[in-house]
Amino acid sequence: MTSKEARFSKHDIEHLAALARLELSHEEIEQYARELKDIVDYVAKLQELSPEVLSASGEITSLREDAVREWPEAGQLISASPDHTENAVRVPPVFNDRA
Amino acid sequence: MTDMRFGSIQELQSAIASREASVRDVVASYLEAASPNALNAFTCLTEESALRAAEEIDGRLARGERPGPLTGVPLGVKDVITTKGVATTAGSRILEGYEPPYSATVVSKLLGQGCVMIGKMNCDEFAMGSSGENSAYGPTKNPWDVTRVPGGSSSGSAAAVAAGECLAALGTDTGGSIRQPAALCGVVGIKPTYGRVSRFGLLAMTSSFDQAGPLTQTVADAALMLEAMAGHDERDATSLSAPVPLYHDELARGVKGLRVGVPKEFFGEGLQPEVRSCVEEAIGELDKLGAEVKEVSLPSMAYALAAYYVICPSEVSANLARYDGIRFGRRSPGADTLQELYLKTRGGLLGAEVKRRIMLGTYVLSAGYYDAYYRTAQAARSAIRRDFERAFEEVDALVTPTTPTTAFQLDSKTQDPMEMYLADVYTVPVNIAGLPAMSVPCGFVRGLPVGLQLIGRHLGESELLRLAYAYEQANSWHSRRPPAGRAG
Repeated sequence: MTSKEARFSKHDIEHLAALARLELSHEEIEQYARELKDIVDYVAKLQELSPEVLSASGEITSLREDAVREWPEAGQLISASPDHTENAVRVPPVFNDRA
Repeated sequence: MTDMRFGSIQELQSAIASREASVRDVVASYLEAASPNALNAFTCLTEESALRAAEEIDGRLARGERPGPLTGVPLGVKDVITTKGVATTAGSRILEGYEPPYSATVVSKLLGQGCVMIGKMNCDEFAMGSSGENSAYGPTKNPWDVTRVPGGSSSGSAAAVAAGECLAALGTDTGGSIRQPAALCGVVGIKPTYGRVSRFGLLAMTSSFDQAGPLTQTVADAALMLEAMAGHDERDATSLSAPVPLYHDELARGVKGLRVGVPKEFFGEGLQPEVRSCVEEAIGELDKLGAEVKEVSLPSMAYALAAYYVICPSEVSANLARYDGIRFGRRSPGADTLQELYLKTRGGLLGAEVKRRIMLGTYVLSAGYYDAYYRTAQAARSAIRRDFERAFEEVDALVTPTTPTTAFQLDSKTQDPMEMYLADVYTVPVNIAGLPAMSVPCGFVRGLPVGLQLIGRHLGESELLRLAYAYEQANSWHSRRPPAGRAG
C-alpha cells in the first residue's frame, strides 16, 4: 500500500456499509465518503512505521472452570427481544419469495 | 425540606455518623436537585428504588449497623453500564428501553457498599465522543457555562457531579472519556490501570482499552470509590488478581521523594496558552511540595492518536455487530428478509459517529489494508508502551495537561470529526499503554475549569492519588462552585 491519499468513492462506502450491515441514505454516503477520507489521511502517518507482530496487551490473566451452571432467568432473555413467542425470538425469513 | 447535599463523601459520612442527616433526606435532596435535569445530565432518574434503598439503609443504621465509607452516597451510573431492571440505553436509540437482566460488577460492588443509585447518566452514543453531543438523547451542558460542552463521553457523569446533582458518578474511559469531561467540568476523574476494575457489564466499546472509573468532587472521594470498585472478577478474564491497596489510607503519605516527569511532547502546538500556564504553575507547586520534577521525552506520542483511531474503530466494528435488532433493543419496521432487518435496524437506529467508526473499522481490518493500518497501529502501540516503560524507570508519575483547551462551544466541532478527535490528544496514549491516569482541577481560565493529568506506571494508582491529594490540599480549586450551583 503506497502512502498516497486515500480515496473513498460512493461505491467504496456502499461496500463498507453492506459489510457492516448499515443501510445509508445518499446524503449519508456522500458525507461519510468525505469524512472517512479525512480520517484515513490522518491515520496514514502510521505507515512511517513498519508492521511488526507483537504480544497483545489485555492478555487473559486467568480462566475460570468450565463448569455448567443453571441460570433460571433465560425467559428474561427471550422477553427482551423486540418480537417473540413464549420461548423463541421471531425474525423475518432469510429468503422471502414475496420480497 | 433542607438541602442535604455535601461537598464530599467524607462530609456526608460525618453527617450520617452524627445522625445530622438520614440517608433518605440526603438521597431526596439529590433527587430534588436532579429532577429538573437542567443540564440534561440524566437519561433517567430512579426515584422510587433510590428512596426505598435509602430507607432500607436507614433502618439498618437504626438497628445499630455501623455505616461504611460509602454508605448513602447518591450515585449516578453512566448509561453504558448495565443495571438490572433499569433502562440502559448507551445513549443510543438502538437500546431505547432496554432493561438488562443483570448488573455490572462495578455497580453490584458499589451498591453492596451502600451507595444509592439515583439515575443513569447521559453519554455519547456507545461511549464514542468527546463532547456529549453524540448522545441520541440530546447533549449535556456544562454547568460552568451552559452554552459549552461538558466533554465526553462521560458527559452526564461529569456535569452532574460538578453541579451537585449526584455526589459521585461512574464513567468509562477508552480514550479519555472520564478524564477529559472531568477536566472540562472541574472535577476529579480516574481511569484505572487496564484490568484493575472489572469490565463485566460494561457495554463493550474497545475491549482492550475500556475501563470504568469514578468521577468525584475530591481526590479522597475518588480514592474511596476506586478502593471499592477495584479487584479481580472471575467474569472478566482480563481483570487483574493483584491485591487492592488501601488507596484512601495512603493519601496523606505526601510526595517527598516522588519523581515527576514532564513529557515535552504534551506541551507543543495546539495547547491553549492559558491552559499551559495553569498546568505549569501546578507543576511548580508539586516541586514546592517536595516532588522531584524533571523533563522527559516520549517521541512515539506523535503516533498515538492515529493508532487509537485505527485500533478503536476495529474493535468497535466487532463489538457493535451484536446490535442487530434480533435479541434485544429496538428493531426497525418494514424488513421483508433477515438481511433487510439488519440493514434497516442498524442504519436507522445507530448514530453518525457510531456508523463512521464501524465503517472505519471494517475498512482497516479488510484484506489489502490490514497491514498498512491495523498492524502498523499495533506497532505504534508497542512503541508507545516502551516509551512509557522507559520513562517510568526514571520517574514515578508523568504530569501533563488533560485537554488542549477549556470547554468549547456546543456545536463548534460537530462538522469535522478530526477536529473533535484532536480533543483527546493527551488522553489516548494512556489507554493505548493500559496505564492508570487521573485528572484533577488545577485552575480556571475566564471561569472555565482546567484539568491536570497525572499518569502512572502499571498499578501505580497509589502514587497518582498521593500526588493529586497533596496538590489539591495546597489549593482550593475543588471548593469553587459552578453558576448552576452545588451545595455543601
